[in-house]
Amino acid sequence: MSFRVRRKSNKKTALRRTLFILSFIAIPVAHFLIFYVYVNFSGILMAFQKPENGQYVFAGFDNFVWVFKRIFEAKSTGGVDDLKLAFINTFKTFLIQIIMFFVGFFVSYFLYKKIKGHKLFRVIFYLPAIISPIVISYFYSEFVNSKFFSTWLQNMFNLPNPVEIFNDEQFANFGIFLQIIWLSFPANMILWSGAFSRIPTSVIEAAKIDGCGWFREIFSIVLPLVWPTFVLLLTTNLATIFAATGNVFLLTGGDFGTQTIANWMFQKVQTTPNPYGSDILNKVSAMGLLLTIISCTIAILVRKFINKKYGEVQY
Amino acid sequence: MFKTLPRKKPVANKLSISEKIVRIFVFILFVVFAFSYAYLVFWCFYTGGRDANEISKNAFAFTEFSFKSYGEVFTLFVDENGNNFFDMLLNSLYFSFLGPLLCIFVSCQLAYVTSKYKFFGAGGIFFIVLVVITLPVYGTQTALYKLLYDIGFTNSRLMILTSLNGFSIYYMYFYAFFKNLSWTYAEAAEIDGANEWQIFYRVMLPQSAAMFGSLFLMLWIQDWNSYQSALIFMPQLPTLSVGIYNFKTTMEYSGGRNDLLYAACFLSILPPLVLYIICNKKMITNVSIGGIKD
Repeated sequence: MSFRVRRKSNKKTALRRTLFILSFIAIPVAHFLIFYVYVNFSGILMAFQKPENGQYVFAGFDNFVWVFKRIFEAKSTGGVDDLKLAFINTFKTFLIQIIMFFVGFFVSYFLYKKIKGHKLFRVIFYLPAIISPIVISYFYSEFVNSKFFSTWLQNMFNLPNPVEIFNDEQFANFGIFLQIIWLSFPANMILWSGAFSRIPTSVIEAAKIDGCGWFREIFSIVLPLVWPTFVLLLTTNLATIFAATGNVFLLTGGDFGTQTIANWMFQKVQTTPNPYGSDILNKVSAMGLLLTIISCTIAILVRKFINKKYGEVQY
Repeated sequence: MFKTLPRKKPVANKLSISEKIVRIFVFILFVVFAFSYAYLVFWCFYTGGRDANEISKNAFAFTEFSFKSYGEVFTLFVDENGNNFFDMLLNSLYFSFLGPLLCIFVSCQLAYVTSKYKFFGAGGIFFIVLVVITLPVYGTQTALYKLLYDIGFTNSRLMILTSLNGFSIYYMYFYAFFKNLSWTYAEAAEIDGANEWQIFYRVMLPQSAAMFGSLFLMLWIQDWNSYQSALIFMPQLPTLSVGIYNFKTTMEYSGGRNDLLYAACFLSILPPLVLYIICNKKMITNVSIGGIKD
C-alpha cells in the first residue's frame, strides 16, 4: 500500500518537475526558434531571392553578383552607396578600434594601480557609455564645427578658409575617427577592472620586492594573468570586424566619403519601408551572408592560433 | 613611555622615477578626457537654457541662461507626426523598462533550469547560447524586418515580445552565478514542502537580486539610449532618442529652436545619469566577465 503511494507521489513529483522545466524553457526556446533560427534561415534564403508582384522568387546568385560588382568594378564616388570605400573605411575604423583596445587596457591598468583620482576617473570614464550616442554626436558636431576647431584645422593644414569638417570629403573621415578615439579611450573598463581585480595582490607585491619595474609588471605579470579576458575581447573584436563603424549615420549620414559597411546595411533597411517593394534588402542579405562566412572563419582561426601559441595561465 | 616609530614605507610601494613620470603624464591625459566627458553633460544642460539665436551664433559662448526652454520642451517639442515629448517619454519608458526586464528575467529562468536541473537538452542549450553569442552574424536585420512586417509588429507595442530573448549574453552571467550557488537552501526549502516554483521565486531568485539589478540597469541604459532598432522598426512610435533625431533632422531642413533640442537632449540623459550617480558602484562592481564577484 505504502509502496504504491510512494510510487504515485514520485510520479507526481517527476511530472511537476517536468512541468517546471518546461515552463522555464518554453518561452526562450520559442523565441530562439522564431527570432534566431527562422530569421537567420530566412536571411539566407533572401540572399538568393528577389521580390516580384508582392512575393519573393528565386534569383540565383544575382544579389551576390551585384555586391561583387559594386565592390570591385564600380568607380569610387565617395557617396553613400560607394561599397568599395565603405570597405576601406570599415578596415580603417577597425584598425583604430584595435589600437584603442590596447589603449583601453592601459587606461584600466592605471586605474587598477590607483592613480591619483582613480575613483573619480572611474565614474566619469563610464559617462560615454550611459549618454545617448545621439546627444554625444550633436555635442561633437557643434564642437568640430565651432570657430575654435575649424580655425585650428585651417591653421594646421594651411588652408585658405576655415574647414566645415563634416561637409568636406577631405576631413569628414578624420572627424569620425577622432570621435572614435575620444569615446573609446576608456574602452572595456568594466571587463578589464573585473579581470584585474582577480589578480592576487601577493603576486604583484612579490614581484615588486624582487625589483620588478612597472613596464615589466604590465607585460610579464599582469598581461599573462588576464590573458583569458584579453583573448576573449580580442577575438570578439576580430570577429566583428565588419561591424566596425563610428557614429557615421548621425554625423554624416554616410556621405562625404565616410560610409562604412555596417552603416550602409543599416541605412538600406531603415529607408526601405516595404520589403516587397525593392530588392535592396535581398542585396543587403547577400552582403550579410558573405560577411558572416568570412568573419566566422576569421574568429575560429584567430582563436585556434592564439590558444595554440599561448596557453592560459592558471592561478 | 613607549614611542611609536615612524612607519617605513614598504619597498613594494616605492615608485621609480620613470614610473612617476609616466603616472604624471597619464594623470594629465586622464584629466583632459574626464573633463571633456563631464563638460559634455554641462554643455548640454547650459545650452538648453540659452537663447536659440545665440546658440546659432556660437554654441560654446556663455550667454544668458533661463529655464524657459526646459518648460517649453513639454509643449513645443513635437515631431512631424505630432508626437510630443510625453508621447516619446512614454514610448521610451515602455520599451526600455519592459524590454530589459523580460530579457533578463527569461535569461535568468533559462540559466537556472539548465544549471541546476539535469534534463535532456540542458547541455545543448548552454552550447547553443555559447555559439549564438560568439558567432558574428551580419545582415539579419533584413529578415527580421520582413518577419515583423509580415506579422504586423512594426510600429506596434507588440514589438516588446522580441525582448523575450533568453539565449543572450546575460544567460552566461546567470549560468555562472547559479552554477556556483549552493543547493543547500533549496534542499531545506524542499524538506519544508516548497515546490520548484517556490524554491526559485522565494529562495534562489532573491539571491541573484544584486546581479539581476545590475544587469537590468545596464540593459535599461542601453535600451533607453538605443535609436537604431527603434528607427527601423517603430518610426511611428518614436522613443525620446528617435524623437530627438527626428526633431534635429526637421530642424536642419526648415530651421527651428535648437535651444529646445538641447533642453530635450539634457532631459533625455538625465534619468540614466541620475541612476548611474546613485548606483555606479554597484553597477561596476556587481558584474564581471566571470559572473558575480566575491
